[in-house]
Amino acid sequence: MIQYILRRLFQSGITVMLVTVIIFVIIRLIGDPTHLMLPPEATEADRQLLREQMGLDKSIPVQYFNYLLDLLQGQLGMSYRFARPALGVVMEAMGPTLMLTLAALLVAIAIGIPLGVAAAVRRDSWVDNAAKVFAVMGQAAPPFLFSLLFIRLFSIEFGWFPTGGYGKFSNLILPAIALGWYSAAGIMRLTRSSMTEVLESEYVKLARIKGVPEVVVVYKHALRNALLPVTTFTSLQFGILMGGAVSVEFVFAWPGVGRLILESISNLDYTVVQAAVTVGALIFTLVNLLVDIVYAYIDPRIRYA
Amino acid sequence: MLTSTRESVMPEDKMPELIQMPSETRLVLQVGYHKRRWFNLIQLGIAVFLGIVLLSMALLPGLLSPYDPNAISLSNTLQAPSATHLLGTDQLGRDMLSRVIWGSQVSIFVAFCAVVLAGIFGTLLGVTAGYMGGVVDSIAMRMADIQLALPAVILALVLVGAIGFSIFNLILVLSLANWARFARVTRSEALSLRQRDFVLLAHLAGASSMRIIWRHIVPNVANTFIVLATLDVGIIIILEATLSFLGLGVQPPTPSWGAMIADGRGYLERAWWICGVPGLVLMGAVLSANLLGDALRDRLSPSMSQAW
Amino acid sequence: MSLLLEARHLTTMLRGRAGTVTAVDNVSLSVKKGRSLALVGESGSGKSMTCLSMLGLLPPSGRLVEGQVLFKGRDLANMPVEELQTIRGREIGMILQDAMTSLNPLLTIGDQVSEVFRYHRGITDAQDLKRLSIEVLEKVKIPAARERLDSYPFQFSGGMRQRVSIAINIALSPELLICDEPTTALDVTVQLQILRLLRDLQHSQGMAIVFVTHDLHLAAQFCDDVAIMYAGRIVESGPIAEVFKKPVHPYTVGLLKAVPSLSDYKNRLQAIPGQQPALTRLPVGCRFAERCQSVTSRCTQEYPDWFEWQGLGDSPHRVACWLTQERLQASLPSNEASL
Repeated sequence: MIQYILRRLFQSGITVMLVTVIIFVIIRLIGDPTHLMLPPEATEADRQLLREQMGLDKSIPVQYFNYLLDLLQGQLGMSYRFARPALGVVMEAMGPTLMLTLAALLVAIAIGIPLGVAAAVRRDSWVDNAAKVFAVMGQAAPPFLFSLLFIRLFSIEFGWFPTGGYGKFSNLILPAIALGWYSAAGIMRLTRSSMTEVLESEYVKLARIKGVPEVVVVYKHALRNALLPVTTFTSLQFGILMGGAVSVEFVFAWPGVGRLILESISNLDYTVVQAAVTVGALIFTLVNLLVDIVYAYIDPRIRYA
Repeated sequence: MLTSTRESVMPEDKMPELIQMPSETRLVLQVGYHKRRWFNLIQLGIAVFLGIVLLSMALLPGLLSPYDPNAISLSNTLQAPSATHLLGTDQLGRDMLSRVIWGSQVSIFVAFCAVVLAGIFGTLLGVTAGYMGGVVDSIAMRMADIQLALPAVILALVLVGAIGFSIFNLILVLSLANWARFARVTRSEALSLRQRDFVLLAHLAGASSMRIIWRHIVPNVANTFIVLATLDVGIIIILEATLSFLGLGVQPPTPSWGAMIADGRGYLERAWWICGVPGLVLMGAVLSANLLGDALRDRLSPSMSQAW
Repeated sequence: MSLLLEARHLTTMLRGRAGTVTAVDNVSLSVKKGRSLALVGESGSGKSMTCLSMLGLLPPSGRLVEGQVLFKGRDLANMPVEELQTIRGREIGMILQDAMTSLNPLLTIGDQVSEVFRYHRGITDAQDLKRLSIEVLEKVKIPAARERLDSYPFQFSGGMRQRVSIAINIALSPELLICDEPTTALDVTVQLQILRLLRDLQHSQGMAIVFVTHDLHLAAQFCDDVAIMYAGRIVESGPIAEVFKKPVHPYTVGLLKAVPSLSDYKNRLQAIPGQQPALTRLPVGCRFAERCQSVTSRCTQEYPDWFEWQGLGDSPHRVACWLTQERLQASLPSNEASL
C-alpha cells in the first residue's frame, strides 16, 4: 500500500508540474501585459523598463524557471486589479468555492446513491423508472440553466430563498442543489448499474445460500462492493463540479474562485487567473490523490497487495 | 409385463405435448421485460424525434424561421407566447422561435466540429498510445492527465481569454478541453485489442505499427468512438452554451442559445420565456444526444461502463 | 427410506436477448436421506438452473413458473422468503461452481464463515463465533485456521476458497448439500482432495448430496444415483451402477461411449454427432431425435412417456424413450418389469 501511495504521489507531482507549464504557456500567449499595466501615454522606454523589472525580457525557459521558483515560494505574482498578491486574492475566494463544491457533492451523493440503490434493488418498478427519468433529465441540464430555473421558481415565485449573495445557510441551498444536480444523475446511474451487477454476482448468491437476511445481503454484501467504482467516479465529479461552480457563482453572485476567474479575465488581470487555475489544479489533484488512497484502503486487494 | 407407466411417485402427471406454457405465466414473466423494452423504445423515439427537429432547425433556419431573428420591434417587446409569436418575444421585440432556430445553427455546428476534432485527435492518440505502449503511452497519458486535471469550463475560459473570440477559436478550445475522454477509452480498447490473434498475426507477418493501427485497431474501436462521440455532443453543447452565457463564447450579433439565456436573465421575473425557450431547446438537444448515445451504446458497445 | 428432497415438475423460464426459453422443463427428481444423486449433462442442459430453481436463487431474468420442491414435506417453491432463509444455510447448502468468485472480496474469511452462526443460531459473542469458525475451517482441513480468520479471499488459492465455501455450507450440518460442479474449475490434484473431503463429510455427517457434473467418471465414483439431463429435461435416471452398466436411452449410451478411458486409449473417441438443440428452437417430439441413431417417426411427433422398471439397484430405472418400450418389452424377462 505504501508503494501505491508513493507511486500516486509521484504521478500527481508530475501532473501538477506539467499543469504549471501549460498554464505558463497559455498566459504567455495572451501577450505583453505591460500594455495593460501602464497608462496609455507611457512610452516604449517605460514599457521596456517595466518589462525588465518584471523579468519579461529574459528567454522563455528562464522566465519559466523564475516562475517556478516563485511558485514554490508561494509567490504567485501581484494582482493588477487589487494591487495585492494574487495568491491572497485567490485563497480568499477559494473558501466559498470549496464550501459550495463540497455542499454540491454532498447533495449529489445524498440523492444519487440512495436512488441508485433503490432502483437496483427494485428493478423495473416505478422507483426504477422514476430514477431513470431523473437521471436523463439531470444530465441534460447545465448548472447555469438550473440556477436560473431555481431562482425563478424558488426565489421569485415562492420566495423561499434569496436570489443570491453569501453569508447565511439559506444562501447555500439553491446554488448547491443547482450545481449538484448534474452530478447526482451521474452518480445515480453508476450506483444503479454497479449495484445491479453486484447483486447478480456469485458471492451475493452464496450469501443468500447461507440464509443471510436479504437486508444484510443488500447493505453488507452488495453495497460495499458496488460503491467501489462510485468512489473513483466521485473524485472525477469534483473536477466537473469545480467547472460548474463558475456559472453557478456567476448567477448567484457567490464570491468564489469561479467568479473571480471570470472577472479577472474580463479585467485582464491575468496573474490572478494564473494563480487561480494553478491553485485549482493543485486542489483537484490533491483531492484525486486522497480519494485514490481512501479507495486503496477500502479495497483489501490493494491494501495488502 | 412392461407397461407404460407414469412416474410412480407422482399421482397426477402432465404430459405436455408442445413446448408451451400457460399463457398467464408467460405473460407475467414477459411483462417486466417488455415494460423495459417499451421504455427504451420511447426513449429512442424521443431522441430521434428531437434530433430530427434540431437538425432541421440547424440546417434550414431560413425555411423554418417565421421571422427575422434580428428584427427589432419595440412595440412588441416582452410578449408571452401567443398565436403570432409561438414562443414569445424578447426585450427588443424579436421573435423567440426564430432566434432559437437561428441559434441552433451555431450551437450545433460548433458542437459537431468540436466533437469530431476532439474525437479524431483523442482516438488517434489513444489508440497509438495503447498499441505502442512504453514511452509513447506515458507521454500521451500524462498529457491526458493534464487535460483532465483542469475542469473543462475553466480551461476553456482561460484559453478563450488567451487566444480571443472567433468561431474557429471556440471550436479549437472546446476540442482541447475535451479530447482526453476519447484518448483514455480508446487506449484501453487498444490495449485489449493488442492481444488479439488477428493483431498478433499481422505483426508476425511483418506489418508496420502504423499499418496495424490503421487497418486493424482503428476499425475495431469505431463502435466505441461512435458511442463516445454521440454522448460527447451533449457535453459540448452544454460547454459552449455555458461559455456563451458567461460572455466568453459566441459573440453577438451571432445568435447562440447561451447568449440568449444571458440576455434574458434580467427579465427572469417578467418574461421568463426569454431564458426558458432557449433553455428548453438546449435541454432538448442535449437530451437527444444523450438518449441516442445510450441507445447506441446498448447496441454497439455494451461492455462500456455506466450502462443501464 | 423416506425422500428428503422431492422436486416435482419443475419448470423454469429464462428471458434473454433471444427471447424467453424454458431452461428447466418438467424436471422431477428425488433424493433420499444420506444418498447422493449425480445430475449429469452437457453445458446448457439445465443442471445448474435446476439447482438454483430449487433453492429460489434464480437471477432476476428467470422464474420458476411451475412445480414444487418438497423438502422434508415443505414446499420450498411456494414459501415466503423469510422462511426460506431459515432453511437455506442451515438445512440445505449449495456449493457454487466458480470458487474464485463465490466469496465476497471485501469481507474477511472469518466474517463470512461466522455469518451462518450469527444468523441461524443467533450467536453474537465474538469469541464464540471465532471458535466455531475455526472449528469448521479445521474440518475442511484449512491449515492455520486461527490466523486465517482475518485474511481476505484474494489471499487464498482456488482450492482453498472452495474449501472455505464448503466449510460455510456444512457448518450447521445440513441434511442436503447441492454441489454445482464444485471441482470443474480446479486442477486435477486439487479436485481429488476436494472430492475426498466431500465424501468424508458425507459419511461423517450423513448428508445427502446432489452432485452436478458433466464428468461421468466422477459421478460413477462418487454417487449412488444418477439423473441424466438433456436440453432441459431428464432423459434417464436410476441407480448409477445400473444406468452406467446398462444404459438405455440413446443419449446415455452415446455419452458413455464418448468417455475416454485410460485403458482404451488406442481407439478413437466416439462423439455423438450433432449438437444439443438451442433452447429457443426446441422440437416438438423427443429432443434428442435429430441426433438419435434409432429414431422413429413417433419420436419426432410425441414426447416419450416415462418407462420404469426395477433393475439391479434399490430404486427404479426410468427412461423417456419410445424405442425403449419395444426393445424392453422384447428383451426383458417379465419378472423385472413393473406395472
